[in-house]
Amino acid sequence: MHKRLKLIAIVLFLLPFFALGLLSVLDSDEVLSMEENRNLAQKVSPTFQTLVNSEFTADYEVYYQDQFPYRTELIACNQMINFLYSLNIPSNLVSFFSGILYQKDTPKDEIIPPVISPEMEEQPSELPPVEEPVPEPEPDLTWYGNSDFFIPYAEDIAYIDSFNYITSNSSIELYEYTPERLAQYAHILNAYGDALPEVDTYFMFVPNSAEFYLPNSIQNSLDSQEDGFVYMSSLLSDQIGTIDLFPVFSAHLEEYIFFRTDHHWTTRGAYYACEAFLEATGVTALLPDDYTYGYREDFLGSLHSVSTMFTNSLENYPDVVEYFIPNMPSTATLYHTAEMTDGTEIDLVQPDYNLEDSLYHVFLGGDAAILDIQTEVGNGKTLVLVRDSYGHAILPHLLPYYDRIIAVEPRYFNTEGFPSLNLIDFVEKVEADDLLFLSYSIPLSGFYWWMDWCQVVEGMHPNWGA
Amino acid sequence: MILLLFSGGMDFLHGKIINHFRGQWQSKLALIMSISINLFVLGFFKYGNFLAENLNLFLGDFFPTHSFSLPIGISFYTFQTLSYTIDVYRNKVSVQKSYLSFQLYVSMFPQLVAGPIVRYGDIDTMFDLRSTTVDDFYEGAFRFICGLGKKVLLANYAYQVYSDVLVGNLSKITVSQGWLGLLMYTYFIYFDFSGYSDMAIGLGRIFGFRYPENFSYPYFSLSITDFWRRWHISLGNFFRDYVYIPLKGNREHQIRNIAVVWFLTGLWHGANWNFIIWGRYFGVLLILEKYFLAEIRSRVPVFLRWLGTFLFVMIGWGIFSFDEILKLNQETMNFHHLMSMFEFFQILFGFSDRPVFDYLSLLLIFQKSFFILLCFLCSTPLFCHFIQKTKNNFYGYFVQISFTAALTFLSIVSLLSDTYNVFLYFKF
Repeated sequence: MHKRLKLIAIVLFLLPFFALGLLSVLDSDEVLSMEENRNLAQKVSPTFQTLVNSEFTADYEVYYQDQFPYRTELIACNQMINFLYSLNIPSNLVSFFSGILYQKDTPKDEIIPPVISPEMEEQPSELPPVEEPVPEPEPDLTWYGNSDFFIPYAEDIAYIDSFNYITSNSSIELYEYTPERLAQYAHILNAYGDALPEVDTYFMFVPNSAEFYLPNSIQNSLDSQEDGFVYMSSLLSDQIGTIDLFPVFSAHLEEYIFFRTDHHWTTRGAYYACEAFLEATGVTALLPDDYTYGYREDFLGSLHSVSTMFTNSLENYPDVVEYFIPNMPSTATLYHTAEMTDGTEIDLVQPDYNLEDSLYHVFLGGDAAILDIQTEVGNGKTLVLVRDSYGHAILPHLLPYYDRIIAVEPRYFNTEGFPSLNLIDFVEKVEADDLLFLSYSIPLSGFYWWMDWCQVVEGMHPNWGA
Repeated sequence: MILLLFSGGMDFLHGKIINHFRGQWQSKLALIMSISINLFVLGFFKYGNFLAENLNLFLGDFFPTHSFSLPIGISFYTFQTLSYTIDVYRNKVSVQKSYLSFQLYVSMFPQLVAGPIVRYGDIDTMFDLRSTTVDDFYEGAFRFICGLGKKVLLANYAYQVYSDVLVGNLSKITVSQGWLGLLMYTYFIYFDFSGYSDMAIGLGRIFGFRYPENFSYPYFSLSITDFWRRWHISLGNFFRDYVYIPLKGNREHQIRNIAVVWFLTGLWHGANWNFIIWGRYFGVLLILEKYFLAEIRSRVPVFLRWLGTFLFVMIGWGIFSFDEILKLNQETMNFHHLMSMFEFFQILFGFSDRPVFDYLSLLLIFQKSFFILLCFLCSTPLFCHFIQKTKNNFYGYFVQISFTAALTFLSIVSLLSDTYNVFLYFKF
């Protein structure tokens, strides 16, 4: 009896391994993982060299992991492990912890607002009354349509570590203040400023939602993005103008300026940043008379994918992608090389974008190595924008102020498999008046490991470039 | 691979010479050569850079450093082949006549990378006479899955928390975060190492080998001496039989002998000052325990003895992992790093301006509370006791089989989830 049971157990032990082995051979390979927003590794063939230097086995292991049978479904099951390993913290417990420590904490900065919740509103404030600030004139938001999709960030915590803060309706990347990295980037920008004295060069450090929407008590335990910005600004030469978005965003916290399930800003956030940039260049932003406005609902972005390891709750609170574009004559041409030949004309806003990967692609339809936008503004001004994906949403807002806007994506140059681009030659060739470096805070954070933003921007400088 | 074949080939030959010239000078010479070659190979690959960098502090750049990566399993198989030649010389084991069988012993993959250190005498009779019964396969498979579960479901996650809380964060941790990180490392290293040992023992069993046990619930020790009888048993036995006893153990210069053994134990674990300090730390604790604390200890309640031992072990892991906490990445520790270690312990014991808790610490501790409880429970003999109790009845089998199936499934899920990398910066 016992022996038979043990034989059954042995068969049960071996069966899944053989079955998975067989399935691995039989099933077809996937190319893209929508959830992870990346290409999956494909089968590799061995060569003598890759066999000797172990590259083949390492690559094959990655391939096998990526193409594991029922990988997506199995990974989804990991949520139950995480559910136990990282207990959800209900909002009343969050308030309780906050209550224990709140008196010890001093608010890090006035710009950090308390998270608005009915319970907190009812709590008597122990702080001395503050003089009422003079109310600023309400911005005219009519050009956004009448919708307002902002909802307060939830106060419970589904998961927290050094990188992520996930609640039942939001998922937020956290920032790590790394002076060395900021100093390195400042050094690179100064070199561009020195090499292009005739061009007005600007730097826009875009904070993400972590700086504005986390409770004070948690903010006090985390690094401040504003500290990072202030430190980096102190290292920049006079040649580089800086755009301080912290007070700008703080004035609009009850508006929908960041997505809750994605790592980007919304078109509104981008608009306020655009206003601040124009102000720095000495131009007053004017709302266009004629524009196209619309929105796409049910957007679950990149940080929703991170959150699925811990909770499905964000699916109940999808984001909305609003878009806005002035109705004015313009053409946008996409190029893959610095020579800007063989371009493809695209729309800056693609309201009908229907691929499943990300609705943020409503802007430009995704990444673009070089985007050359020509307008008929007639002021003769040219802007070169060196940007990451945050740049996508800001481009439509810049249209009324430049004859030509060239958006450069550094990650598509000077690395293996990509063409080279010498930014200094490029800026001189297109006779740019303004040069704007735009990066959101996380790639300049110590936590960021996927790609070194400093390195890709550095790569476009002739003294450092590949 | 080449080094493994070289090491196996050399010591197979040395064994033959020792046996052939038994009692003659050639036999002694072969033993000396075996010890020298093994220690030279280990020293060159594992300690060469450490030694060169420290000597270069005084001599400029006199000694070159190399950039070879450490050959896999070198610490284990050099000790294994050493034990073979020494035991042949001592006439404790018969010489192996088949080169293939000897190479099988040296390169046996289940335990090659992470132990246990299987001495030749442990398995010499099994090369030709082993058999695998249904019982062996069943027990081996169960043990393997338990080890896999320990490694994947407990150790990996504990390491993730430790890494998140402590690694590179020395400048900002609170007291409670420091202890949480250290506790996670304490569980990580146990479940990682004992998980590998379980997998090795289980696989060995499936192939018909009985490897020695390497862990026996070390976190339930009541003294440091007790801890080292339960932690990495095969290494402790190796140093006892090949270093401590030849130095005349308890009979002469016991303090010196303990100091030598624990210096070597520290050094065996890694080529950096933190490992040497860690070995010294335990050496001092063992001497104190032996000479000064024996009487006091018997008057202390069992719970406090357990707690005290656990705390001292945790502190030890703080020293052990300090190069990782500082993210030194193979860099040799210098005086500045050692001062940081001192500051780390100042933080842990509240001799700094760091608060005991901040908001994040409270959240983290609450969030990980179930996991901490699970680690605690899995480090006790409770589960094993339950399996033993229910071993011979139908429900026992049912529970065991269901448990194995669940562990297998969850381990696969967890391993796959480690490959889930949401790539924010692709196509954006």
